[in-house]
Amino acid sequence: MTNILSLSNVSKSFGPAQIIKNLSIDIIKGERHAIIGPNGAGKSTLFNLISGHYKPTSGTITLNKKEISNLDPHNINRKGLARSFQVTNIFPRMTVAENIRCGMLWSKNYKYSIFKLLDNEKELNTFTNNILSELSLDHCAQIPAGLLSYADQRSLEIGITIASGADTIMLDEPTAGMSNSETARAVELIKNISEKRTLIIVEHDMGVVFDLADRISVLVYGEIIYTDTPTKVRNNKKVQEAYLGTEGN
Amino acid sequence: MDAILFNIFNGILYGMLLFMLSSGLTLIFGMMGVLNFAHASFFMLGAYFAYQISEFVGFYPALIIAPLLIAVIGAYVEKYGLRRVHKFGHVAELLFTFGLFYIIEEIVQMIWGKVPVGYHIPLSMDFSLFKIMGMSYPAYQMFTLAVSIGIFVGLFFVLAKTRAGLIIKAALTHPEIVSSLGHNVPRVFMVVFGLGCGLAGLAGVLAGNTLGTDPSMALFLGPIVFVVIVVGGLGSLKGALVASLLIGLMQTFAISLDYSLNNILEFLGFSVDLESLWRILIDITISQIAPILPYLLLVVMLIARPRGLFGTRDV
Amino acid sequence: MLNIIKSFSSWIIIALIAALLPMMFDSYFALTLLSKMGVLVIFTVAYNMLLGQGGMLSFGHAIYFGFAGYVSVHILNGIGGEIIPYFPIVLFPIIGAIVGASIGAIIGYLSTRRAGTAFAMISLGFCEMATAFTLIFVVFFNGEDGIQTDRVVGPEPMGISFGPQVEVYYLILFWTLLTVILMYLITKTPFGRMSNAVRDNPERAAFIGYNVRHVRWIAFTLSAMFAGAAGSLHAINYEHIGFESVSVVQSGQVLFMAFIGGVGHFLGPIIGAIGLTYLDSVLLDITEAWLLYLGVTFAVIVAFAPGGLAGLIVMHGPIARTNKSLLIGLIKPYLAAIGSSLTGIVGVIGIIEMLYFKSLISKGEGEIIIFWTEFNANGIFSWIIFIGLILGGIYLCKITYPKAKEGWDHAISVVKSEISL
Repeated sequence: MTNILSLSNVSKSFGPAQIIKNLSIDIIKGERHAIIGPNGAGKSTLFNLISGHYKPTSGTITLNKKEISNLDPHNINRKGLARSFQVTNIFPRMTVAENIRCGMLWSKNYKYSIFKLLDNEKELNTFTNNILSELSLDHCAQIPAGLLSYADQRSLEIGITIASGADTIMLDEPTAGMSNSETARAVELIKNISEKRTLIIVEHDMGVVFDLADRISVLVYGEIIYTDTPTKVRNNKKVQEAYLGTEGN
Repeated sequence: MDAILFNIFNGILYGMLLFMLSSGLTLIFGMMGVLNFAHASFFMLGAYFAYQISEFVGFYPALIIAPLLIAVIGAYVEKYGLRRVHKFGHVAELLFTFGLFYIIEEIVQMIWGKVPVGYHIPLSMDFSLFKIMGMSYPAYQMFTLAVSIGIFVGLFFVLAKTRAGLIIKAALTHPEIVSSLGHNVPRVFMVVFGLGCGLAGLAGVLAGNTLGTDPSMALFLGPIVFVVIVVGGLGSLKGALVASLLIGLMQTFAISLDYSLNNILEFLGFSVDLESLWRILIDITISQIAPILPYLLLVVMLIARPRGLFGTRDV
Repeated sequence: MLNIIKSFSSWIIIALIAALLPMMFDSYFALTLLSKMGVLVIFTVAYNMLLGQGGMLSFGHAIYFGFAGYVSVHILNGIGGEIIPYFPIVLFPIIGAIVGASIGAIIGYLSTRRAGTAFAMISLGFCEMATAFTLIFVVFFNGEDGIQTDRVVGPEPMGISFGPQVEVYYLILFWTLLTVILMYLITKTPFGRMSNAVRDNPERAAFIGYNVRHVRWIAFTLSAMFAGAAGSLHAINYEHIGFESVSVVQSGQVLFMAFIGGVGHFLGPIIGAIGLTYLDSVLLDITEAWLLYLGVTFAVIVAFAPGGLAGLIVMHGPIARTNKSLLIGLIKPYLAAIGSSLTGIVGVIGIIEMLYFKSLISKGEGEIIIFWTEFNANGIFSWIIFIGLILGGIYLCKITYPKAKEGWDHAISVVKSEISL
């Protein structure tokens, strides 16, 4: 079992406030790893650090054994890490299909070309349609993404993230704001798309977490207090005190 | 030596004028994120209003009335015009103020014509206050300098010591928090916008009679003010002050330096063929390229330090 | 293959109509106007690559337009003076494109270090610098007088010398069609789509692997390239180039045209360029206040209809597609609202015209012609009429606007419910 993503003594401060404190974590290749913790624990900051939106104040982050601590987001993405956002971050004026298609342009080597007409690229469009089917978004493929329902937009958000074919996917609260049925659908989708990939997911919905995760890390006040399988996490006293409460649910 | 002192004085004078203009712009930008393209237009209106008012009641009343009028106009522009545009984002706000710049320019031309108007220094101050080493320092310029320093001190005092100032300073860096603290943000915006325009108007009143009052004033001074705030760092009053003085001094010294690269070469013992193309290039004196210097500074700043000297907020 | 012809059918029809226009409008005035429109269409569509497609507001786009013109004029004069070997006039826009792209790449590299309003201010700074340049380096730019040239130089293939205006028109028409089609096709390429993506959500664009700065820089350079092509044609058309073509005023003009036409849609700048060029040439003689009206129109569109004219039209697209009767149902309330607005606008125009008349011309003696009727600017009667129109207009608008909005809301809600089905 290899580690695909490693954080080593990573700290992040904003001015005098230290949000992430000496954090170390190893993500195993191919696993589904959930990160849970109370609000304000630093989960979003952690995601932002890994994906390159913030640079760590100290410590190193490595992906596939290469250091990515100080790389820009686009470079990190090119190395095989894709993330979704907690607040839906799509391209509202483009159609749903175009959103997905854009997501895969770089990985399919189109770069900044002005000589290829995208509508004529058969293979690209087939791939796009496949992903749309996976997301159950075929029916609204030609509609401007901004007009979609909230749940559909969240699905699209995930879709853009996986479109690049990255091996490591980070999902930031993908089921936030969803109803029960929508959540169930989203979980199915997430299970399917993470089949052959490494998944790191931040979630508040414990049902989703215990359903999906191979391992769970608990983040409290910028530190990881415990990492293990779901059952062990649920029964751990420290975790119960800090986050889960006595019900453990 | 005397020339240098004189240039320093004029440079500081010009710099303080630029600061009066850029401080208002920085306040507006810092608080609302709006870059007021029409800022120099309010400057121009200040000069024209001062001219018109002083035709009736003299300079001193105009000094008080004109900036107040401009501030009120600015507040109304914010309330009925700009406010509708906030929701479309900063670029839209900039576009709106660009349209405003256009409109004010046309209205000024409509009312006062395209030729400069006779806005003169008041006779009561049209004399030389003192002479140092043969250079005379006019009373009116000293008065202008005194007023602009007074404004700077007043601004500093208000921002540092008063509660209103505290709110403004907070909003300069964290506007969202200020609104969630319960302050009537639209009202604050209106007041700050009016205040900023009023400052611009005051600068117009003071400078209109020396620089000349004509419809191209805004187009002439506007871009330089923008360079000042980009170089100083958007949203930083300190940066605006430093950049204003820097550019003010730079411009004043450059205009007085009639030296060209050729002069330097000759001094060093080289001489270039009169007919050659190179001669044309190096014959250009510093005073000739003076107008470009602020923009060159902009380019250098962009390459070396895009945030500006003291920039904290990004756009 | 059939698909290509089908999708290009509208272009072909437009091209044919444009080619036949000189048959109907063959006066010198008309041909000059049409030529001017063509050049500005290229310039404005190029500008919109930056503004509408790329989300970057620039006040300095005239730099590439003007400098391309200057280089073209020098080369033309060089050919005329037989210092430079002959280069076909037909290919001059390529020279302009090269000039535009070169300068654009440099300035773009520096400018794209910032975004948003800082970018806009920087573009203003560069524009001022360029204008100052042209006034200082008299040797190359000839200062305030600008440079004259003669486009009738060199051999005349097939008897075409480009002396007559109609020949220049066809030259411009050819290049307008070519460049506009190219720019349209670019919007459908990977770069084009990513430029849109960067406009809408630069953060997301970075997280799908694109260097946002690179995308912006390329957009800038391409936009400058096409602007340069327009600049060459501009110089050829007028046989003159001056510092105004590099100035903020010229940049402002193309901004107005693009924005009023509508930056969100490819046709918007074309509508804006043609419409405003026409109005500019026709209205400049009728009213002194034309530029004021233009400024007010621009400000109003920014505040109330930021999608411009094209935006207003396209907004109704979903309604038309869902149910045509919905669209027809909107006609009455819209007409009522437009009518009320016109009443007020006529009043405002009347007042402004009279103010202009009183202050600029002969300090208000005599009569002024507004809307082809005579009014006495001194008598109180005229003022009362127009103020009455303004008040009447405001009152009517208060009634008709809510009704129009109701109609719109209803139509849109029907459309939305159809989508979620």
